[in-house]
Amino acid sequence: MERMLFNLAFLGYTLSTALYVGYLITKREQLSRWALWCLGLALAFHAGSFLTRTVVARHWYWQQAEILRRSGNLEGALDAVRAARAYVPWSNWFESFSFFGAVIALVFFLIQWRSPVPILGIFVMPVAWAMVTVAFFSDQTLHQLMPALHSYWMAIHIPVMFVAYAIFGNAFGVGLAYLVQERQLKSKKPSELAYRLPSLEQLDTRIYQLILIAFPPLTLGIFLGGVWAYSAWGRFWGWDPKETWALITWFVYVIYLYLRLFSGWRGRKTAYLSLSGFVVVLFTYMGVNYLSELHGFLSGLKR
Amino acid sequence: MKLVMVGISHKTAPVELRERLAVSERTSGELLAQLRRMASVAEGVILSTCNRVELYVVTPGDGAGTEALLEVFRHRAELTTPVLPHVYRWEDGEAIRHLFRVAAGLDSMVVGEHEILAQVKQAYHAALAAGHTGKLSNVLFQRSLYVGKLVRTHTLLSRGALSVGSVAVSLAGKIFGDLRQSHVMILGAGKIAEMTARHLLSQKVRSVLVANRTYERACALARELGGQAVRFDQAFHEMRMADIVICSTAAPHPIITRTQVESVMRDRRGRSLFVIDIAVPRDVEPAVHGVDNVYLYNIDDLQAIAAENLARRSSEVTKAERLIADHAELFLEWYRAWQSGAEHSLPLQSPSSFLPLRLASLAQGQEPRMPSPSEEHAGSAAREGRGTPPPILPRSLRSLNPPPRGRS
Repeated sequence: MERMLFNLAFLGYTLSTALYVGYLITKREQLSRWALWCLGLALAFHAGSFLTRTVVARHWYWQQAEILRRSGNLEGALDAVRAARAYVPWSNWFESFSFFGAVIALVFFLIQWRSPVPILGIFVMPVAWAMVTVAFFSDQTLHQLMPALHSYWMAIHIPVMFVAYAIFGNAFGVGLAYLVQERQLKSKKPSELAYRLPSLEQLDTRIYQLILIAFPPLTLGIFLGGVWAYSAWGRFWGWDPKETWALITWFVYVIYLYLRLFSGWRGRKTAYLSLSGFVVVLFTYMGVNYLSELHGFLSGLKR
Repeated sequence: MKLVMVGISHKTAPVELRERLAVSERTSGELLAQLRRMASVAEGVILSTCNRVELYVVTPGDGAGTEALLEVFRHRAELTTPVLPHVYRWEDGEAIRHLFRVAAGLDSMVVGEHEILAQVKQAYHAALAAGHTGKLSNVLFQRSLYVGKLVRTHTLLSRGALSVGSVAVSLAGKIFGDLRQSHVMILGAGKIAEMTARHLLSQKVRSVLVANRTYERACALARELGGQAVRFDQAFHEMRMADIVICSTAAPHPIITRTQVESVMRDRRGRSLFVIDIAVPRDVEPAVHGVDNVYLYNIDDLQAIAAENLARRSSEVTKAERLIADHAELFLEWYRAWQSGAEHSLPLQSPSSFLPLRLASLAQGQEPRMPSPSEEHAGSAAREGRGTPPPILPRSLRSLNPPPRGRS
C-alpha cells in the first residue's frame, strides 16, 4: 500500500516534470497547469505514503520487539520499542530522499500557488524529481536504526533542516533561471525563452527572498542539532564532519546575505553564490555521510 | 438573404482616397441609416479605420450593385475622383473569410497588429447600438471577434517588438521588470534618442534626465519630455542614478569607456544598467557590455532583434491562415443552414481542430506580450502621408516611429 502510494507519487512527479518540459517546448499554457495539478496529486499520494509507512513501520518495530523479547534479548526488544515509538518516515536513505524531494516540491507548489511563474517549473521540478528518483532506486525496506536515532529529536531537528534545504533547493532552481536569462540578455540575441522568463530584477529578488526565508530555519535547525547532540552524546558541538559542513553551509548563506544587503552585490555573482550554497547543502546532506562516523546513519550502507 | 462586403483598403487605394472616405463613428450611424432606407440593405456594419473603409451588408436580393452603395460615401465626402476602380467586393464565404482575416490582423499593414480587433469591435458595437445589425451580422461579427482573439492566442503573430524603440522597451522590461521604478537618462538630444525615450516614457518611467553638449537644447527636450536637464559634464555623476541610458551624441569617438562604467557600477550597489547606444559612430565602447550587470545594445543589435521578430511573425502567418480557413468553413456551414431556414447552433470549433486549442483559448494566464506601441501606430504613419512602409523593416526609418499619440 505504502509502496504503491510512493510509486504513484513518483509517477506524478515524473509526469509533472515532463509536462513542464513539454510546456517549455510547445509554449502551451495549459500544459503548465496540468503540470501543477500532477504535482498536487503527487504530493497528496506522497503524504499518504508517509502516513501509511509510519503505521507499517511502527507495527514492524513492535513485531521485532516481540520477537526479541521471546528470544530473551530484552535489551534489543527495548531498543525496538523505542524505535517504534520514535519512528518518523525520514529515518533512512530511501525515506530521507523521498522526504527531501517532497518538501522541495511542496515549497515549489506553494510558491506557484501564491505567485504563479510556471516557467520556473523547468528549473525547480527537476531538482525535486532527482531527489525522489534517488529514493525510487534505493532500498526501501526497513532496518534497525542506530540507537541514537530513537529520539523525538528526529521529528524536530530533521524537518526543520529539510524545510531550510528545500527552500534553498528552490532558490537554486531560480538561480539557474537567472543565469539563463542573464546569458540571454548578454548574448544580445534573446530567444523566445528570454521573453517567457521573468525579468532579471524579479528573479534576483526571488532568490534573495527565498534565501532570507530559509535562513532562520537553517540557523534554528543547526542549533537544535546541537541541543540533540548534547542530549545524545553529551556535547553541543564536536566538529564532526556533518557539523562542520552544516556550519560551512550556514556561512555560505551568511556571506550571500551580507554581500546582498551590505556590499551591494547583485546579479550574476550572487546568483552563482546561491547555486554554490545549494551544492554545499547537497554535500552536507549526502557526501558527509561517507565521512562521518556519527552522522553516517543515512548512508544505508551495510556495515 | 445574402452577405456582401465592399470596401477599399491600404492594398487597393492610396491614403489620399482612404482618408477622404473614412467616416467617424457618429457619421457611420447616419450613413447606415441612410443606406438602410434603401431596399437593398437589411443589416449593415461600417468598419472605418485609417487603413480601410469597409461596408458589410446583408441584402435581401442577390447582392448585385452593392458597389454602388459606396457612392453614398463618395457623395458625402464630396469626392470627385471615382472610387470604383479601388473597390473590392466579396460575397458569402469570401466575405466571411475576409472579415476574419481583418479581425485577426492578417490584412493589416503591420501583420498581427492589435488595434484592428478593437476597431472591429467598435464598428460592430456602433452599428449594434444604432440598431442596424440583425441576426446574421450579429453572429458574424461576434464570431469575427472570437476568431481574431483565437488567432492572437494561438499563434505568435503578434509577438515581438518591431521597432527599435519598442525592442528597447521590451529588453528594459526583461532587465528591470517594472519600468515605473526606472530612471532614464538621455545623452545627446537627438531625434532618434527622443523617439526611443518616448517609447520608454509610455511605460511611465519614474524620471527622465537629458544631457546635451548645448545646455539649451537639453532644456528644450527635457521640457518636451517632462524631464530634467543636466549639464553635460555632470552626466557621469548622474549616471549613478540612471537605470536606462540612451546615447546619441554626434561625438566622433566613444565618450563612454569601460573604466568609466566600472566606476559608475561601483556606486550603483549592483543594480543593472541598460545602455542603449543609437549613435553612429558609436558613443559607447563595446567592452562596456563585458561589465557585470551592464547590458549594452547598439542600434544594430536592436534592429537585428526587430528583424528577427518580423521574420518570426511572417512564419506564423500560415498557421493563422489555417485557423481562419477552418473557422470560416464552420461559419459558412451555419450561414448556409440559416439561409435555408434550418438554423443550428454554431460550434466554437471545427471537428478538424483539436481540443487543446480550445482549452488554451479559455486560459486565463496568457503570457504577457511584449509591448510594442509602434505596431499599432503604423496606420497613422500612413495617414500622415509618409506612405506605405517597405516590407522589410531593418534600417528603414520607419522602425523609429514615435509612440502612438492616439488611435488611428
